[in-house]
Amino acid sequence: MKPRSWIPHVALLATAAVMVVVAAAKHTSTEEALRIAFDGEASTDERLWAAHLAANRATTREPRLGDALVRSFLAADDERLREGALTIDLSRHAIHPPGTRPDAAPPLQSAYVYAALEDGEYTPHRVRSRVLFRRKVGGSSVGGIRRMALPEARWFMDSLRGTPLPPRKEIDRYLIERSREPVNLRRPR
Amino acid sequence: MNPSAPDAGHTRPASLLARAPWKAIAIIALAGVALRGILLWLVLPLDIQSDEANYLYLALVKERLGIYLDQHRYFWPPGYPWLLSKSIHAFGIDGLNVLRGLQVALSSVIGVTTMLFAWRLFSRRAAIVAGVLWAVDLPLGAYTHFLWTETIFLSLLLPALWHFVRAMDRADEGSDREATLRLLLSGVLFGLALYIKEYVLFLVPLLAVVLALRSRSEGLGEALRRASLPVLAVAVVTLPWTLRNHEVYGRTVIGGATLGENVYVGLNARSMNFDVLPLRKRRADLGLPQIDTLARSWFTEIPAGWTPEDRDGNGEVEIRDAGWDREFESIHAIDRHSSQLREGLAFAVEHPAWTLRTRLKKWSELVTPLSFFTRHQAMAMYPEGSVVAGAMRGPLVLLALAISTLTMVLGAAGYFLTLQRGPGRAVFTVLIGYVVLTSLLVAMSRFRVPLEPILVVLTAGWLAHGPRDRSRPRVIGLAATLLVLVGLWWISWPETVAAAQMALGVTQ
Repeated sequence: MKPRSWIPHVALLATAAVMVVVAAAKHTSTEEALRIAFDGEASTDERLWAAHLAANRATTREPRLGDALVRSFLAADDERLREGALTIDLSRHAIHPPGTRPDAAPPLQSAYVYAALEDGEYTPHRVRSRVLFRRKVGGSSVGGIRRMALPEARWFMDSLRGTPLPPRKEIDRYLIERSREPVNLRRPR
Repeated sequence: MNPSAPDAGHTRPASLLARAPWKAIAIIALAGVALRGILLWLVLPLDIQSDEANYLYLALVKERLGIYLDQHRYFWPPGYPWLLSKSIHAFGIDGLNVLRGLQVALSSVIGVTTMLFAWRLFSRRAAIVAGVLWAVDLPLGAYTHFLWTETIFLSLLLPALWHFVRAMDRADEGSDREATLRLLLSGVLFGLALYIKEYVLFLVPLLAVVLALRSRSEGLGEALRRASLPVLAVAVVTLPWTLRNHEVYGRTVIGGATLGENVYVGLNARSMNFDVLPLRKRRADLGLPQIDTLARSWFTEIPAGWTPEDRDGNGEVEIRDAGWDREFESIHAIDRHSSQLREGLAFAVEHPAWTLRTRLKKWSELVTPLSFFTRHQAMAMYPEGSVVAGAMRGPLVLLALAISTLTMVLGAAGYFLTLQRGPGRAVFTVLIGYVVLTSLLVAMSRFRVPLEPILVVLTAGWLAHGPRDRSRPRVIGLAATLLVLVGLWWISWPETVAAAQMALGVTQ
């Protein structure tokens, strides 16, 4: 029997080893991630990524993330940071007041998304916030209700591209109609 | 060289096979792509529904915030939302249609591989029959205009299987270099498929075992060398994602994590048939009785001795009130799997009769003649006034139902009486077994998709050659399979008929 080559195996293992070493070198500790997430001097991308790490590494609800960091993000000037507070990452850490229904939406984010409209019109940020918070997968306890529909996705993309949004009346009518749809508890796939 | 390769006694050795009929394959593949392209053009503008909306949500978040989120109850692999995000980044909301167009183009890979399998396992004639069947396979073709992962997934899975089979061929012929390269390529493709669906995670080790067993005459070292190569390749291709997950979650997650939620859905008191569930709203609008009220209750009813509670708090005790709740302590899907798996298995063991009858129901849902094309028609998803929802609706729905039914029946005949022993049969058997066993948890027509091209190949083999081996075990195997198939169709017959009537539009 002639000897067969193990070179591909060795090459694959070496590639894997390099990837592991690079990943280890680029590792961010949880403490560092938390520091960056709260650091007003850090860039938006750095803060969003750091919050992503801290929120997902925590295995139980963490008030620093569900309350303090959400407040910090929602108070930021940068719209992307404010929108980052509305996703599943921080919503799952929401701290509910005692006696709240178990399926109640995260209170800080809810208050932000449903606050009165400034100047009576939906801003692009406002539309994106609504979509990011309400159309997430995961159920009402994290703020998600009903799946996203095509008009909302279109508005979201229009808002990023600077295309004018429909007038408030139209958006309101759409949102009211959607809110009247029965929630399908048995979600089809 | 392994001269005793089982193939040798029954079909021509792979090295002696005539060159694949590339001209015919190319023409048929182009025709199939053209048909799918026409279908896409006819169904636009197309709304999104169920998981399509969830994939799009993830893509929008990726586009805006630059991070990939999990889905709280699931953790899907990132490939499809990533493709969507790239597409909408470049083309705005029109990117959805661009991705649909890409899927139409990529379906050619599925068509070509299907024909190659038929050529390799049967003949040139079978390859052409398989190509024609694939071209008009509406249940499969419709996925090219859905924003579901199936088309992209199949365009990676099938070539991976093809190279795996060819590697076994070449190894049997003593062409070690080509066998090694094909095993490597196969592993890379399986790894890429894992970025789209975590479905193949346990399939690759099973195939590696088959490879090792078939190589055992070459010695243990060689068997291990061959079998470990695709597994290693998968591990390396998926390692960047695995390392990313380790960085983000601090835990190891390969591919994705959907088992826990699937156990919650599938090993629980309520019965959920995803081919008919989304029809609820439309049936209510049409004043029709809900389909679950038509189901044969013996296969769906709650376990004996279990008292349902109003767990969802809507004031009514309904079948949807689960026998056990989701685990609420863990805030991440990846941490809920083990406890939900424990709960589900405990529930199944506690109610063995219920477990048995509901598993039959799952298999019945796996082999339903329905498809997501008929589901879309039943939900009136296609644009009103379009030819697909109008004049051609009936013929197209009948074609979809007929293709699903015929490929299952004739595919079974092809598997038992036409397909000869060899690497192809071994790989097909593992894949069929894998799909059937994984469908014990949750089943629907969509979960049959990985088998559909295989059924087309087997059907083509049967149509082109008829029975080649009428030995007693094979005839008994076919008879038993057809009997089981008819029995499984009978179980869900009332729902199938009701959903098919909606798809045909004869209930309005």
